[in-house]
Amino acid sequence: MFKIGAVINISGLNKDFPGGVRALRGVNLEVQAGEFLLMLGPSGAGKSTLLRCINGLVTPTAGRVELNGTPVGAGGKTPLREHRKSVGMIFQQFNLVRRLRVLDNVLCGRLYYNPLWSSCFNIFPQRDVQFALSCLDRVGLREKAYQRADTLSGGQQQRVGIARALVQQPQVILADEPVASLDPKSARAVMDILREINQEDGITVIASLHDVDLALEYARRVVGVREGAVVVDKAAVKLTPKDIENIYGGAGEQEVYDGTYGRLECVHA
Amino acid sequence: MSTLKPPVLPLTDRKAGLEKLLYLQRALIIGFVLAVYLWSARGTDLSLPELIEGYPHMADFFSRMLPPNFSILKELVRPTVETVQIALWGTTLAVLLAIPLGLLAARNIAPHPTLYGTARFILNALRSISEMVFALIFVTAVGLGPFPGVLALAFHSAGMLGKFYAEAIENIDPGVVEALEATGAHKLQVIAFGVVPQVLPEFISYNLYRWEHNVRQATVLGLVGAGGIGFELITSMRLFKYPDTAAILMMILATVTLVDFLSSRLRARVI
Repeated sequence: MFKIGAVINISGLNKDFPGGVRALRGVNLEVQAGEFLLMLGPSGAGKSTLLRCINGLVTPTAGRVELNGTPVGAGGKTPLREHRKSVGMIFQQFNLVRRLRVLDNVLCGRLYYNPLWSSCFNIFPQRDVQFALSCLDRVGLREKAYQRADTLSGGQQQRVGIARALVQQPQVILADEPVASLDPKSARAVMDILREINQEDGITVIASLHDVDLALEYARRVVGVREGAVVVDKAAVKLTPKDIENIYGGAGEQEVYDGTYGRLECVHA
Repeated sequence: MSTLKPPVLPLTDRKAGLEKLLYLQRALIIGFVLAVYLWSARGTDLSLPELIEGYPHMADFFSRMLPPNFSILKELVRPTVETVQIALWGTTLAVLLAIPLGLLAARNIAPHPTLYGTARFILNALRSISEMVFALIFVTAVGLGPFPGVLALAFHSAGMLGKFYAEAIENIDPGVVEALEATGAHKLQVIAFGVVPQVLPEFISYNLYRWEHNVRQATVLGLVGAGGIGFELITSMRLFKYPDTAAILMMILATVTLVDFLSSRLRARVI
């Protein structure tokens, strides 16, 4: 049964891809409304698959994902679209429509709310346009609204991606390696915006990251994923070097994450 | 079982053996290709002496075309315009037919494997029947004139364009489609925002190419009675009015050149 306050409840989730690749094995995860959760794990651990199970882009082989107690994927396509509308997503490669203007890209987040035929011809009500502009304002890009999306820098494109998710008026925002393609400064700007919308709007944020330092700086809760299973799940402040080792495994990686240990000691000091 | 192991040759020997095999393979391929060419030459009565012997006849034919009879130019305007009009409508109807077929024939968009297979089959069938064969069919069905020409171009071109569209759609960035699906957008909205903007430049470019091609094609549709300047061409030749033939050929050349020029200018603007 789902508890009051749990916005997402994942139980016994398995995902096998054709060809015998097991991406997820028995994942259980409960996310409370308003959490800021960061997922850590080596590439190929199953973070992306787990995120995509939450909005139904990937259909799990077994187990279930519930949003406010309603199972994802039950009842056909229309409930699935309604579910996706409540869950915004941003991507490592931003996935903007490059040839369209920034504003049109943001308005894509309003497609669910608008009638099929008018929206297909890019006709949106004025209040949606105003709302899209205000979302662009929040990510600091209102003045870029009428430029083509591919004229923007990577960091700006990711902020447009956030505006596109915001305009959906979601309860949850999923972010799949949102800063992996960005320089450190842009990465920080993007993480700041995510934290801001989490705190000001109460939108639950679930993001995967591979930069441990950044994760510890922003996360309140860290979930470690390794070989398709949750191996660590605790408050960020309680994370120990041993946990990091547990997530990334093997002595080989230790050197790579050396910086982390210094930071962790600071956290504990 | 272990007694059936192949003998292990020293490395150098094995390498030499492998190279010998490769030479043999190459020789066989070259021999086979040569054989196919010789066989086809016999099948098509290919003969250089005949070409040389025929030269005087050709020279005679060309000399009879001179000087071109430009006095008929005025009468050629209407069939020339008709040729371009046939190509315009033929291409436009082809685009309208090809859009749904192309969408269904793109693996990443097709809603169902059965629809995908059916669309692929229809496109292949349309492509395999040439414009002239379609023209013969439609002349029989709807009678002489430019309309069967329009239909002939529309059906064959739909097969070509549909395949191009499907390939262009299969090459789009799937991340954009995923992002739009993630917003809760309807499949048609995903196509309108995620697919169409990505393929639009190629789409316009293909259509212009096809229009260009169809103008050239429309110049010969008249040979089977499907309208356009081809009818004047075949008539002049049947009546041995070779100077007229020369004028018509020059008119075709001018038209096709102009259309090619226009189309390439337009294409340059969309890319």
